[in-house]
Amino acid sequence: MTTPLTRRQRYEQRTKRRSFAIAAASTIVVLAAVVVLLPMTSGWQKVRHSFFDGSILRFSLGHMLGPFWYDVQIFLWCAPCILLGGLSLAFARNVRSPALFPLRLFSTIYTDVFRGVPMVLWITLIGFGVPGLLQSRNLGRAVIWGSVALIAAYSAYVGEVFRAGIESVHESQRAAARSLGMTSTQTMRHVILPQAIRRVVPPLMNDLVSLQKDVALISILGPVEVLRQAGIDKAKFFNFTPYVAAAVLFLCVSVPLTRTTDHLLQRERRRTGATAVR
Amino acid sequence: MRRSARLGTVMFIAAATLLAACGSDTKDAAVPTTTDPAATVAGSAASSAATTTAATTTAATTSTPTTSAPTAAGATKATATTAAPATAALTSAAATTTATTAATTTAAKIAVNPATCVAGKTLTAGKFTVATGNPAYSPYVIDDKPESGKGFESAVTYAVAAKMGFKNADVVWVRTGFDEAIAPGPKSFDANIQQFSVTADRAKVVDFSLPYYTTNQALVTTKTSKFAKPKSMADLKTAKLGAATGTTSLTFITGVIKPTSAPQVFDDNAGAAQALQNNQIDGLIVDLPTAYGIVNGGGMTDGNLAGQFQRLSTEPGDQLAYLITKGSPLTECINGALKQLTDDGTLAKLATTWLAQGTDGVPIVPRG
Repeated sequence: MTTPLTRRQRYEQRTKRRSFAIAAASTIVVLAAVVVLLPMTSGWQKVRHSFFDGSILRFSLGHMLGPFWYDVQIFLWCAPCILLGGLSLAFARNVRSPALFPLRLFSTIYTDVFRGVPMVLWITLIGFGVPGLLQSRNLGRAVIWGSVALIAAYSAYVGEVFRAGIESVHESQRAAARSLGMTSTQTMRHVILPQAIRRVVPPLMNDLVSLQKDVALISILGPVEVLRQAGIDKAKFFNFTPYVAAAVLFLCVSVPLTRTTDHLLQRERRRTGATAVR
Repeated sequence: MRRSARLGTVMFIAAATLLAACGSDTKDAAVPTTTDPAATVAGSAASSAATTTAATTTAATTSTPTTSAPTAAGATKATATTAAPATAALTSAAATTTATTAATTTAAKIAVNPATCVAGKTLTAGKFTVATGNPAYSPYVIDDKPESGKGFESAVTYAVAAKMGFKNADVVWVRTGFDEAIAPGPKSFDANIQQFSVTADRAKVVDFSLPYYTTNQALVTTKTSKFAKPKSMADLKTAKLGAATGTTSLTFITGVIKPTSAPQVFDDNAGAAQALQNNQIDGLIVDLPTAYGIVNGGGMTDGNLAGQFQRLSTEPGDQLAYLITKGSPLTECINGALKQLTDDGTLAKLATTWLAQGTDGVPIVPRG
């Protein structure tokens, strides 16, 4: 650190500082514009009261933590199932043996059907339909069939992401692995998948963040999770602030989630990037 | 790294701004929230039950349209000072909704002559624009056709319109959801009728007319359910109950019945009825006329109207009223019309015509 900087390094430092200053200044200008201009709109007082009522926000945040934890729990058991389901679908879609063609066909049809229907409909159809067949209090619990609907539909989306990742690995990699004597399973396990998964982490995160929000749709079936609690509070006060409180809670989870992934990816890029010559 | 640090800074500023916005809101909360004195009428559990019943009958200040505002405002202010602070209502109201109900009808502004009152106060001159739900449910609106005049709320609306000097053809129906009715901004209706229950918290945000109907909460089960014939409310402690979101029925479950398992909450009564059919819940709590509509409307194959819950003399019941924009000059005109309809017995007659079939003779489930 004590060694004097080269001219090049000094120049780079200067440009970095300069760009940071510009970014900070423009951010402040935009925010100031929002803070100054927004209250000048004619309906601001009403909107502020309806959406940003301080006392209702505190009231809502306080008793929404329980329902929100319920959301997080559902997310936590759905996410691994979805990753497994998605991966299985991707494998099924990539089988090359002619004997396994039905598997491939099933995977294709499954993906088409489950991606083609809105999530709300799947949750309503599966969540009210299957318990209707079962007529059992324990097996028919809304949270079970709501989760099943989420897992079933999200697996279709995630399966396509994995498939894209697997197909993005160049055929020569497969050829090279096979010529080294690896079986087709070993090739998949040790050569294709590690590269494929690394490539699809950003779109996977996309789906996971989206799942974290769609968990709230289970409320259609009866459980009181955070969005439902917000709706109840809204109806109690005739005020939309509880929704803002719910939004804040969701952001508290999804922003760190995405930031962490970005950070990990960047580290990964630095580690494996083309410039890292050994 | 540099990039993420910058992003972090931006997010921090954004979060701080949001917090600041809400913080400053609480400091001068008096400005937007309490411009109307009636807004501070916050019936608490302790005070409202006793005062409400007296207030509804006596404190209604009758006045001419021109001088109504100052007198009524003075009357409301007196009530407001005796009411519990709004923050207390915030935390306690969930448990006491039925008790707080109707605190807001105290000191309602009532025009003596609704027919001369309305001039220039409606959205469209010469028309009375009324909103209802989408869909609107029987027996409040028959066949989802409010313009037919069939169904209780539809009939009441035409009677109110007539008292205000509108011909039937001048009544224009529009549809709104629940959220649309309470969202800030200009409204598409003069008055909204879809079984809005009056509560003190809600009356801080919108105007309610005088109630056009008072009902009890009722229990719907399947015919074979072990809760099909409850002897008292205590029998329902172990029941898994459901209700539609945002209803006073839901607050009745959490605040009055207090069963051991958490209530299930649905988007609407159709979803709740389905869950009941699926044996996912033991019972569904709705207002009495709606209960009749669910059991007999074809939505359920083995629905059973198990009973209506006893109302204590200190409770006002579930009072249904028109929802009107906060501070609307039309409120006193609609109140004037409703008062005349109450006094001449029309409201009672309409209730008999449209609701009696479903509400008469339903067994009463006592408290305890």
